[in-house]
Amino acid sequence: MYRYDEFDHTLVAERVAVFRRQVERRLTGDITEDQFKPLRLPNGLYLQLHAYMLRINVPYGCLSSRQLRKLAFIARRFDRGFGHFTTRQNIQFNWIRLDEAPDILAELADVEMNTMQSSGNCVRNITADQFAGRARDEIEDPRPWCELIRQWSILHPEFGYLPRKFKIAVTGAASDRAAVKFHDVGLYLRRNAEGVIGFEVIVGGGQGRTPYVGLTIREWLAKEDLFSYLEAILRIYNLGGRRDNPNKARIKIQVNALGIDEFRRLVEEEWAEIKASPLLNVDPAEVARITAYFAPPAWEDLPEETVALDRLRKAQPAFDAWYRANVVGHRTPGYAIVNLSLKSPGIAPGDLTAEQMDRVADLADRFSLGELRVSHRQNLVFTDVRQKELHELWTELARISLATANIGTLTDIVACPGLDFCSLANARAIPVAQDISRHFSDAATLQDIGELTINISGCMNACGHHHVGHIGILGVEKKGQEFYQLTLGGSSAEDAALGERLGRAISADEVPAAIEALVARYKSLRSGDERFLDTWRRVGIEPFQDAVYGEGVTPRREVA
Amino acid sequence: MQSSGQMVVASRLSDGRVVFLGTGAQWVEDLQLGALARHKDEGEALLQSARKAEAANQVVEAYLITVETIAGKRRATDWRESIRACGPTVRTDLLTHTS
Amino acid sequence: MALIRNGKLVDDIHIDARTLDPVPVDQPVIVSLLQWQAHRDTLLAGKQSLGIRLQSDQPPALLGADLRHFAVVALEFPKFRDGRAYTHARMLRERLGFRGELRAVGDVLQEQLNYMQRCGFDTFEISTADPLAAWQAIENDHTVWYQATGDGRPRALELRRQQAR
Ligand code: HEM
Ligand code: SF4
Repeated sequence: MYRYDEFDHTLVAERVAVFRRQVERRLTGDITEDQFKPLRLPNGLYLQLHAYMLRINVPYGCLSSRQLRKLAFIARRFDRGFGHFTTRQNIQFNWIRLDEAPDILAELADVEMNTMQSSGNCVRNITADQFAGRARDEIEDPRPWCELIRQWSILHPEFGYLPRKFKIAVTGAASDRAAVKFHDVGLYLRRNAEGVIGFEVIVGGGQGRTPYVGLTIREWLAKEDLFSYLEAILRIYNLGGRRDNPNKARIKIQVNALGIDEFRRLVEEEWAEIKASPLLNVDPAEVARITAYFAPPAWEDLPEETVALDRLRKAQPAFDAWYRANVVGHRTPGYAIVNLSLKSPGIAPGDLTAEQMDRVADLADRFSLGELRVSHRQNLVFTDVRQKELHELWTELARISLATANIGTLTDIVACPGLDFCSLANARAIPVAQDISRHFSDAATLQDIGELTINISGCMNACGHHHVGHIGILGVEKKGQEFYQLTLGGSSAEDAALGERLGRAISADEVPAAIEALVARYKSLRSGDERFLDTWRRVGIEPFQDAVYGEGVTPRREVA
Repeated sequence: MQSSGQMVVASRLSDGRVVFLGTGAQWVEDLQLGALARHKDEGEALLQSARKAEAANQVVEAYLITVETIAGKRRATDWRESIRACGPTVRTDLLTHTS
Repeated sequence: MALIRNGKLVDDIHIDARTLDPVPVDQPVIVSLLQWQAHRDTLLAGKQSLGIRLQSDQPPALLGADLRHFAVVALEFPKFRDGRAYTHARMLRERLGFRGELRAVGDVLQEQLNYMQRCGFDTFEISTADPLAAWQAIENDHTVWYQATGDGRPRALELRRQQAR
């Protein structure tokens, strides 16, 4: 993974020093809260329901064991012993003190991490496929490009005060695991007719209160034009994005108001002016320098362990269930990619305690070359596990409740912090996730249901991606009570789609029963091994409406 | 016996913790110990005092909430405020108060 | 109001003529775009040093060839959050070839000065009691930048190369 050199270190250290000064000025009353807020936000520091919340970038989801140990240290020393991984591959701490925030940033800088631009109206953390560099369906590792974009975007003097936040995602794989079409700019590494790899550029995707699937602005962009093209898009947005209403300020609103053709025309016109600019060249030596950091590790020459694994799987159904749900094919023989589920029953999706962090760091050293990834579905990933060690790893993970066999299934729920933590929330999200995961805790049942994603957001802002869950759950407030609005048929993958609203909102008690009814209806309608999403696409909304509302939903008994 | 009144809630500047305006312009972490206004004017007076604390950089984002007292115990009527006062409903190991 | 220009406190020799009618033609003035459009010929006949103040929704390219008549272009930040003038400044310096004084006016705060300078502003109207102190507090904040702009400062890339040599 990328390592800071002295210049990267200096940049981060200088930024920490600036923030320290700003915090001091605030604490001594030299500046007001109104003046301070726009200074703390671009350092990832929010004020939430219970305390300050700090959002730390995990660049394109890559973490080393050393960094994870530092996060464990921060959780213990400065927080309450746990952190929350988000849908943007970041980690948040919920109980931060303002007067300690600069010290935390300094601790992070020691392990080459930072919080720069994790909030604010600027380019945010670049996200990517969590299997980057290891996936079998990838034409090129997106991570060097992510790092190049990260550097281009950090403290960009022209784009620090955009109309609204700006999110970029990149993937090099055929399967879209990074929700690329739901970003302000999405990049797919693609071959053109001549076989040369460049980018398909998507623009104007997003969720929030006005969700849009992104549109292709350019079918293929040469790699050497990446910065000039991004800069052209950002310029057209900076000048033309709406600034009169924050709810209409994202690039998606501009793109859809102008129409993609007119937006493209403006971008290409600006691009023609700066395309040849030496200020924006993609320097081949720099690309090579950065790419070298992501060179494949020295994988050993190992045989596929199919036979031995089959034997273990037959002998131990629990191992088999985990293997089938959580282990993914690696591009190198004898290796596997392993998902660590942060969704064991009853846990807040994405939460990890300091003890678990330390243990995971040790396991990453032992089993995965000291590195791990964060996925946008709020799980962790070991990228380089020897197949012959899978069983041992499974045993170790089970000890720290990270071996739940549910990746991609109904209990692999994505949820935002909701009203338990977030000051913008209308309703809680975590308890709903906990209820569902307790209700469907049997691995065999989950496997029978198959691929089914549930996403929960505590308000319209859609941080839990409810628009793109196969089943989406949106918390709303009615007369002081929490209610939940279901949407069906969303997808954040390459078959991107926005969910459709099922009917009236239901109470929290009714949610597990409603999910149960939807699942039962799906099972009775599916043909062969059709996924929930495909059945939905084939039969439409009515049978599912009937399942939830027609036959009435009986509230489940309170669990003790 | 049930009665209702108003209190001022805010976030303490230095650590962001939820605090309630107490008597004598002190800020306390426990809702049960804050100053309770029975009348609208008293509520306004509390808020005025809170504005001074904001100007003095002790707290930020101060506002009035409605509190009801049932059997001698106070609670915020609004669900959001009740979560602010008691801590998250999940991870109850982290509750700020036992109240 | 006193200005910071190239790191020093200087007096503003131009008067803000936005509310003056008629616009004086015998002393240095800064006019609005509307005034310029209405009184262009009179102002040019006056031979005094001219400046123009543009709102954040008035791209400098609107001036076309008239840009050469201005010693000062003042770009307004109606709120510090409105970042359009950063782009306008770069356009002026890097595309339209403007070499005169590029002044940041409006909601110009200490913590934004470094970005402004990198986008080509050389003069700042900072609304604080001690503008020089504000400038000095931040002028050495950043020695490493990842981006190249028209200001010619080496970026991290060039620093790396120099070091490798
Ligand atoms: C707890 C503090 C948080 C606040 C105040 C917050 C605020 C917001 C707001 C206001 C939006 C809507 C933006 C817009 O439409 O322009 C948004 C969107 C989003 N947030 Fe958050 N968020 C928070 C936490 C999170 C967390 C925990 C995650 C990840 C689990 C997250 C990920 C996202 C994503 C992916 C979106 C959708 C992006 C889009 O609008 O296209 N946020 N957030
Ligand atoms: S969706 Fe709403 S409740 Fe959930 S984190 Fe985002 S802003 Fe908060």
